[in-house]
Amino acid sequence: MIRSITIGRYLSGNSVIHRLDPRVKILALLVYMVILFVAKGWLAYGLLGLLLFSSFWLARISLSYMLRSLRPVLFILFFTVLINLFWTRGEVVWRLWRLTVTREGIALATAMGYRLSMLVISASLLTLTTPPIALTDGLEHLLTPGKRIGIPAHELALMLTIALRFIPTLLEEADRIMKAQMARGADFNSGGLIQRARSLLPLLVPLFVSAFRRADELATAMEARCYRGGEGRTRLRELRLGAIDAFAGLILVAVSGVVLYLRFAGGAA
Amino acid sequence: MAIELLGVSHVYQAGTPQQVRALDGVSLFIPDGQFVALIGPTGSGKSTLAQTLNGLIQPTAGRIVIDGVEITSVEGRRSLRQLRHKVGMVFQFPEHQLFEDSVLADVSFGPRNLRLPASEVRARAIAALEAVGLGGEEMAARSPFALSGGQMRRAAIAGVLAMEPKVLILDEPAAGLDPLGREEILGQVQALHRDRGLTVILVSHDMQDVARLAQRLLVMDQGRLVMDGPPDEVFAHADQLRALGLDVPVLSSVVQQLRARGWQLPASVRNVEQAADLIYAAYRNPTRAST
Repeated sequence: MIRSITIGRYLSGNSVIHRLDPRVKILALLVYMVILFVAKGWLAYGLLGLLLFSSFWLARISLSYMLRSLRPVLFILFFTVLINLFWTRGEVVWRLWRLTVTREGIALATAMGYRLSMLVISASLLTLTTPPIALTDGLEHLLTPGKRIGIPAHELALMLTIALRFIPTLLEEADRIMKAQMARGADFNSGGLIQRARSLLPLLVPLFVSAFRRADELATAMEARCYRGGEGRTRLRELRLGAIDAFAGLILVAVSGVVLYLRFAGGAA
Repeated sequence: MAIELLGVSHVYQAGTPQQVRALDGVSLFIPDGQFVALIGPTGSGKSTLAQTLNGLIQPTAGRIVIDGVEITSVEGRRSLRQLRHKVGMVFQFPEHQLFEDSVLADVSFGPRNLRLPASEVRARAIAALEAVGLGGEEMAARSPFALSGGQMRRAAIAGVLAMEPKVLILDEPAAGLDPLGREEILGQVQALHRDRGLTVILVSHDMQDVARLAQRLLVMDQGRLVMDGPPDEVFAHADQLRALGLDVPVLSSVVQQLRARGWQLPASVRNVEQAADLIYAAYRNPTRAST
């Protein structure tokens, strides 16, 4: 069950989406996320949904994989929808004891649920189609102008690379330790909240110990290879913008334009 | 406590592109008190098989019966906790599971989960520590993180022994230890088998250890059980083992090379002494084919 988490998982491929410049993908994701919350009206939502679905289709990633990325946020999603559904004032359409559902509540709950889902799915598209190294490379490039105001771009990118690299390793480790403790009769799934929190101790302590051990080994390995930060480092893969990047940018600008138009100019409609 | 497997298969991540068939129709019977070694190349399904015996992995097909209880049935799954009292599992690098602030507390974790009275928990933990050669007040009070690698490993094994299992499964218990540490751990496992009549299932890469310790070898390849028999018989099929990327103990290797040169020797020998006698007899025997 622990392996089903898709955050940070990369699915190798050679589709158009995979070949996009990581910088373009990161910027596109940021724009998409902002637009998602600016958007208003079903036409705009539909358009943004279509954009995302067709990107998944182009990337040749199955629907089940796409939906799986929602699993970790299902709980938050559920609550957002519930709160919006029951706590929005307006025209009451349904009432049970003290719970009321309003027309506005339904609309808001659906919109929020949809936006959140799209948000998470779009983020997972980025990680599913971009190798972590390319992702941090892109991030480093985008942050480089910030070096003048003291943003340590290279170090941040390196930290991210390492964190992403170790997610699967630590998950595997957690899986193994969990099994080892279960073999000793540990029970992670029953009892009250405090009981459960306590029962996590035999999992968390070894996990932290091993994370520190790995960090130590990694630091030694890096020093042994004379690593000394970003100054004057050349890279194996130079990032270059191409035709597909321009095309992708164009599509995104067009969609954003329409969504903005629907929101501000066509607001009355 | 007998163990029986009937057509056990396991597929990881079924239905995804990363689908892996780790076990493919494994059937076998392990009688009470046997010392079995499970060998095979990396990825042959040894660890998966070991974990199914403890209920940590539910096979996707097939039945497993342990001590008369079918653990793969619906009722069996409910009593997994009881199963885990009876079947102790020592994972690879078990020292990574240590977490308490003293060795004694860590070893007590298992029996404490059995909800035994405090005095019994303590007694079991102390006995288990003694069984792995870490007896004494001073050792029991130490932090498990202040032990040497070999000691940590043994403390972790004690943590499983304190549950007083009838079956002990060990996944590469000697991996990464120096020769002395290996000897100590394997000697203790052998003593547990001999003195307490535990059924032992040892997953290992080291053919010398396996030849010396086990009464029976199970050879796995690509999720299937490809050989099953006493060590001397299995090692007589050296070519087949080498084809699987497995080693053959030096002893078997010597005997077979001599046979290949026409020496009159049996296909399988049990130990160095027997081999020495046989080779000496063959050397003295003038009927051997000359080379």
